[in-house]
Amino acid sequence: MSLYSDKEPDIKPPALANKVLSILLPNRLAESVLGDLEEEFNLLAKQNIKRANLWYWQQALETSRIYLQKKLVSVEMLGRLNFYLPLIMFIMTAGLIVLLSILSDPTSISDTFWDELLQGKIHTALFSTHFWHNFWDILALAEWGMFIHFESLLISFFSIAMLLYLYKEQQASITKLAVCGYSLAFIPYIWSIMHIANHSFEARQIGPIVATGILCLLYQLPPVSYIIHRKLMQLKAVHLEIHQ
Amino acid sequence: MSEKDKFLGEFEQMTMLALLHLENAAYGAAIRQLLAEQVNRDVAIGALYSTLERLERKGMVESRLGEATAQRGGRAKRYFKVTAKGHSALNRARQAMDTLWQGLSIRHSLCQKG
Repeated sequence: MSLYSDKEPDIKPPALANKVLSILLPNRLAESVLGDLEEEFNLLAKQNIKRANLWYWQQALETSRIYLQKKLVSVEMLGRLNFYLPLIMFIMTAGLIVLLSILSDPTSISDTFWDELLQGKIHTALFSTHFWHNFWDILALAEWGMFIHFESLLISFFSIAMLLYLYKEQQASITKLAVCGYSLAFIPYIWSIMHIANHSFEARQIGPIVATGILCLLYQLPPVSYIIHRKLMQLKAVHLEIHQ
Repeated sequence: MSEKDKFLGEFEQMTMLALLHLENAAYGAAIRQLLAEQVNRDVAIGALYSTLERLERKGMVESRLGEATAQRGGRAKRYFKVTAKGHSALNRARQAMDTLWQGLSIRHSLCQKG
């Protein structure tokens, strides 16, 4: 049953609004949604074309807003973010670890870097142009020994075990898993900064504390990203099953 | 199915009731019009489809592609139907509301508070 007569309409809905909708709507629904809109548009256009155009734009904008929002939090988008962001953070963290191991002149990074390092804030090197100009040269100086630290491995092992426990619980949502996973990865580094701030350590004692925090981050980023990727794949499989 | 998937929101209930009213003619434009005329809910077509998609995910509604017409620019309609699971959920929601409404009226409760 159609709401309207079978006469071929001459007036077309705004092309730009249609284009925006065809980009944002999922393939499965695009045809039906655009068809429904055109059907109602044709009825309104017979009475008042200006009102029909305005109505069409209102519908198109509100519908675009809804589906743009959905697209931004879609499984595919989250999957890409969960891959690229941890990868970038992993490379940057590796660079900071090498810098911490080889640094002989902190003023080469910035005038204030030595003071910041004494507070455990190795991440401030990320704001230095010198660090980025020489990033790949710094990374090239990496040795395997710099990345092996027993205490950090132990902390990371327990953190990942906790996350796996959460992952195996079927009720754990993707948001809960991501927040817990990335929090567990960052907590040791944040703790190291707070620990240094609350105690009066000598300069030579600060390095190992910062190293523990930042190595925990390095160890945990890949497994956390992988566990979230697995959960996202499960979600995707459920979505596909429903749409088949 | 998670706990929240067992319950229906107000707009979900309205949409499913509209599908039942429209029987075999329940497609986007018709549902939107019925909601606007009968309950004064003039929603965007995107909001309606978003709700229908969610109901489909919950297994309360199913859809199929229908015929295309010239008024639709040659595009096919998507017809929606309430499933058996959807019927049970609607009945459950109605029973819950009836139970809570028993012995109450808004005027009565306002008078008591006043």
